[in-house]
Amino acid sequence: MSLLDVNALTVSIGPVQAVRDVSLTLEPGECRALVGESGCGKSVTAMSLLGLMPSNAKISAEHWLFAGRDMSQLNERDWRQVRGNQIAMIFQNPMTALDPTQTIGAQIAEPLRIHKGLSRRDAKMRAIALLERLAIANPAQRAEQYPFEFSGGMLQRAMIAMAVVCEPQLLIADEPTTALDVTVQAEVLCLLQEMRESSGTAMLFITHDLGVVAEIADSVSVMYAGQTVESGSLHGVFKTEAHPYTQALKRAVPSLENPRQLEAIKGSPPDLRRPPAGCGFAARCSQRMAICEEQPPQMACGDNHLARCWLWHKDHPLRWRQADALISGTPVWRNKE
Amino acid sequence: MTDAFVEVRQLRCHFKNGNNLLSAVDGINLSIAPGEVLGLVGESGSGKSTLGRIIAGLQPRSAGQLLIDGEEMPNQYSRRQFRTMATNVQMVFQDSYASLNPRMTILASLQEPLWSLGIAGQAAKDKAAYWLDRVGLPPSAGERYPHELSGGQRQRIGIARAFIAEPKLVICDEPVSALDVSVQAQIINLLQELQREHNTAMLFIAHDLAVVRFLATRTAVMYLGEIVEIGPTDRVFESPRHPYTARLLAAHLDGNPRDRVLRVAAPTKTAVNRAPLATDSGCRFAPRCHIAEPACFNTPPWLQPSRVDTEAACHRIVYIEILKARGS
Repeated sequence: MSLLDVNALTVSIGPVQAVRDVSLTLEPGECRALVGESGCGKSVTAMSLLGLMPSNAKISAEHWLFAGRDMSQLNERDWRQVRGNQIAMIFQNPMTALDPTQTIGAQIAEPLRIHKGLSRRDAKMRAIALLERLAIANPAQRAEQYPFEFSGGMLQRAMIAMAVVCEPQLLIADEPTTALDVTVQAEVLCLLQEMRESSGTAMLFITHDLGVVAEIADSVSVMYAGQTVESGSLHGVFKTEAHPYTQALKRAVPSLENPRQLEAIKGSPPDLRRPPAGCGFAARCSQRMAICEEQPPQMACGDNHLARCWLWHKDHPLRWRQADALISGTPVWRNKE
Repeated sequence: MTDAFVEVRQLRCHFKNGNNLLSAVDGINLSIAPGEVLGLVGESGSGKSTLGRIIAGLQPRSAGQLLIDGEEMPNQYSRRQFRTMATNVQMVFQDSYASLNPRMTILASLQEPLWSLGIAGQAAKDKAAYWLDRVGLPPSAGERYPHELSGGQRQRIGIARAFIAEPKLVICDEPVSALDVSVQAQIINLLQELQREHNTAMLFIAHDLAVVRFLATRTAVMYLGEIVEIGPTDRVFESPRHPYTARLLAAHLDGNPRDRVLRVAAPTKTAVNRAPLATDSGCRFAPRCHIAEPACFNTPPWLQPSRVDTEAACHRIVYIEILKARGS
């Protein structure tokens, strides 16, 4: 059974339809990367999965199961039992996510006292032991210090300690390395990988950096304009990018190996106050067709590999010519000028 | 080198921190030829932004010389020298929102550099309108205020503002690191186009190695206030000689799931976060270096030239060359 199984998650905040149709599954111990530009709904998805959305947000889902439990029925009290205990989060900016008036040790120990009922002393001991495992020198001394006395990389490690201290089943990491230097980023990623392997925690890793994705993830979901447009295994998605957006995204990133190609994606994402009726990417897509005015469903394009694009419809000419079978009543495939 | 457009000699910049003297920039020699793009990489705190700001004239230096077009610039400019700086050197900042006046329309912001050069009225307006179009924004954007534009659009304005006075050198301090990947590509392409069109020299400061590799003809790597390696970009990236450059390149993630680098290149010694002090002796990278020997902690290294046109400041360079020749 999947640890997390969300189908057709929809979140709207006032007039903004931030998340329009997101489906995610996570197996125990799996690391899934959630990729997309800012404003595509990655963080809103993460916050919803933690029950952290403001009260004016409307959240609905076809089904939403976590460890066999229906999460759409939880009230705030139930959520407090889950948060930090079964599902924990690593935020992007540790400087603003940590409490400046509490020592690092106290902040790491807090979830243990709340969820596991440990005494102040025992919790502190566990916190110090964890800091040591995270390669922080003089952990006992460091635990008495305040966030401003830590460097960025160390704060991020403290943040990770806070998140993993209760050994959650699911860890949501929202751009945990974006604010860090490459060498520190390498350290933090190594740490996360180690923690994951030793405790079997599943991870939802939100990022826009494809380099990080290739390094750490087992599977990938690509988001665009509030929808998951492509999902599959890491190797499946990186080998054959099925959705034109994923293809464009890969071509837009400079690489060390071939530094002479860079194709920007023309145009900008749609306004999610008035999202288009059809495919969200159609306006920027180089392979646009007449049918793209209609909303494409998720279509299979490989082993466990889904893409929300009409190009992968079984009746697309490229495919039915291969299959050598004409089905009547096919949609209009004519390319649009 | 006499044909360099910008030259700095033994540049130092010290900041007071309690009883300690931090040296953010420590004895840097550097020159940028006309039309050349020099990439400057290094982690945060390495002094790359400070160096950029000194060359732009935004930060007084503690010691050393700054020569613009052969003329020595003091910390305090005369009126004429200010004009020389304003016409020749411009800057693009990382935070496009903080670098534009929120109470000025975009069109006014664009004209501002021209006003200070004595171009005003219709001539300035026409030029601003041309540049608005040149960086790919509609004319209607000119009437707007900075908060009404997206991050990518604001950075386009920042670039137009830097190029409008047709400077000979543009200093870009992390111009794309705050932007989304898809927008990043647009901005990088725009910068490259403008640089080629006007043959502007450029100092491109970034921590993203791939972006620097794409844009720069020459690359300098900084660590704690010093240049540890400098040379033609391809050479620096293909055969890094300084251990720090090698470490940086190993930590770069290139989006290829087949070769996961972290397991192999996992840093054995964690990043020591320490500030560069003026009293430091020896190589500043030594505490993190896996091949440091006692001499590295006592004697500061200097930039040594090599057969491949790059210069690296490392005592163990011969050892590294031998390792390379053996292919390990």
